[in-house]
Amino acid sequence: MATSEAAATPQAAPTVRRLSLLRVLGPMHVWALGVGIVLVGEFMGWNFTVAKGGVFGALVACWFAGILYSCVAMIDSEVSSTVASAGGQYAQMKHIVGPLAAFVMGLFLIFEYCMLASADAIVIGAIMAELNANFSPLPWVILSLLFLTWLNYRGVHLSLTFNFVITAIAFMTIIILLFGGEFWNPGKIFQTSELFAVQPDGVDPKAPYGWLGFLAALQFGIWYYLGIEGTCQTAEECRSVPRALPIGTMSGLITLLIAATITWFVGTSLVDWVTLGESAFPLYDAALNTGRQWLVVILFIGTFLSCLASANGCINDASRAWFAMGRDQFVPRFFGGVHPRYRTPYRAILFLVPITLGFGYTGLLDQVITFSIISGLLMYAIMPINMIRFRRLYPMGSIPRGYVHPFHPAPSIVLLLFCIGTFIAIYFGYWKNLIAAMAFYILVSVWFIFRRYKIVDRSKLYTMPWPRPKGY
Amino acid sequence: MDTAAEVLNWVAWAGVAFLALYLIVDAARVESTYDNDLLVSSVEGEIEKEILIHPETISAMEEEIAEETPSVDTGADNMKEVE
Repeated sequence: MATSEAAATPQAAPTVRRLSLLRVLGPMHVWALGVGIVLVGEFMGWNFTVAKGGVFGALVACWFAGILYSCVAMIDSEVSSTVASAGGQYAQMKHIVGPLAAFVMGLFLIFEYCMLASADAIVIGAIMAELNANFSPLPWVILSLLFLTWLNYRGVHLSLTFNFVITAIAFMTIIILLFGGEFWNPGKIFQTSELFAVQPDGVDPKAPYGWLGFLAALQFGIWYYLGIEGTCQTAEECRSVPRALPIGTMSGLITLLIAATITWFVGTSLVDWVTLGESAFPLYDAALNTGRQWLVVILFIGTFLSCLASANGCINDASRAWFAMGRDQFVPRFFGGVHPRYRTPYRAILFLVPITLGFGYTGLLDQVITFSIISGLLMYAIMPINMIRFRRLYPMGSIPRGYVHPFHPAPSIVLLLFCIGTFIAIYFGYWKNLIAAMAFYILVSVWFIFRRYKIVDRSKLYTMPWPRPKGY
Repeated sequence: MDTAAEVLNWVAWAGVAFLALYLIVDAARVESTYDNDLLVSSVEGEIEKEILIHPETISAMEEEIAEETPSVDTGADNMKEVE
């Protein structure tokens, strides 16, 4: 809570030398971060919705998750354009809900992004092994992670400009597959009517398991957009937060809605639903089915670049969250260090490298990915509470806002309802993982309350120059 | 074993060694050169105050602009100032 005491806390005194993160990012970089993390979900993962709910179940999951993430993007754009701090949702929680919520939110972010980065790196190793069976995955996994770490270490502008280029190329490969398959000429390459038709054994690929299948598909529907909320992590490094964050996040979401719908159409029109539901690289398999070698090469490049972009964005976001927690002493203050030359949270970046690698080599990659998704979903479930409380504590006009989302509190309520629906879907398939994850977060919360929070310097927690919240 | 692939595997390991060494050496140089209090001196950012757009205020702004537009377009005011 930003109290009057906190509001009165002086910012950097003129005589005190301070290091801060560089404000060098524009909307393009925010777009690159958000879309870069997510786009890998179009190249792999989304297709499990087809196995659960058939081709229409996959489309319902795609648009259902699209509504969920539209709410996330709107809420994030408003709060982040106001709380201009590294850590994104962590900082929002700290200022609006309280320290415990912030600590848990910080952990959600770190686990979500570290685990996603490790999965991306492992897929890069698998892609190299696919390219040539004599390639050993291990050096390529570590090389890709260290290269991206180096980029992030050298500067946020460099790493996100790189992300913009590779993300744009990866996105274009999806568009190229659509046009390369001559979508305007149905029946030639795209076999939509044939693949959607009821099979001789009576199975209808459109909805083989009925409405229950649609519900089950929801748990994988979030693959289409998982990670777009990471744009908030750049809040402290944007040249103009009120401009860059809303534009970057919203344009990123629009890009993903287009990409997800095209991906669904291309995938289901080129690969039969059973094969598609089990595929490790669905868009690559779709390119193989076109019979055009140049499309296969392009999709191979797209898959590789999307993994690289996702891992890069995840390293960026996880390090900012860890850095922000370090700065507030929620973890050792040491991790709040800023590189004096490159102005990056270099200690947080380096610390998370072995942890990310460790997650990847637990041998439980599917569990790691599931834990990452559950962490993300838990975060979305708290966001509506955050938003409603934000508007209540700081009504319109009380503090500057870069963006104000419309129809409040409808997006918050819709987000909460959709989260509950997705939790039910996850409970059907992964109830043990869900309960284990919740038990873990409850245990670390107890540790935080009874141990860590006692040594936190609370006078330095709130430095935003905000007025006293309404009701305090 | 494909020799080219084996060589590339070693190139990848060399890249790993180079990047790891670079990161460790640079971080060690920073730690030994700068005071820790300076390195951890960062504080939360401050929002710019210039932009505040709310859907409810947009219509009011548009009305204001519409009221101001004729006087700007006619150029009459400018002429008066010149006189």
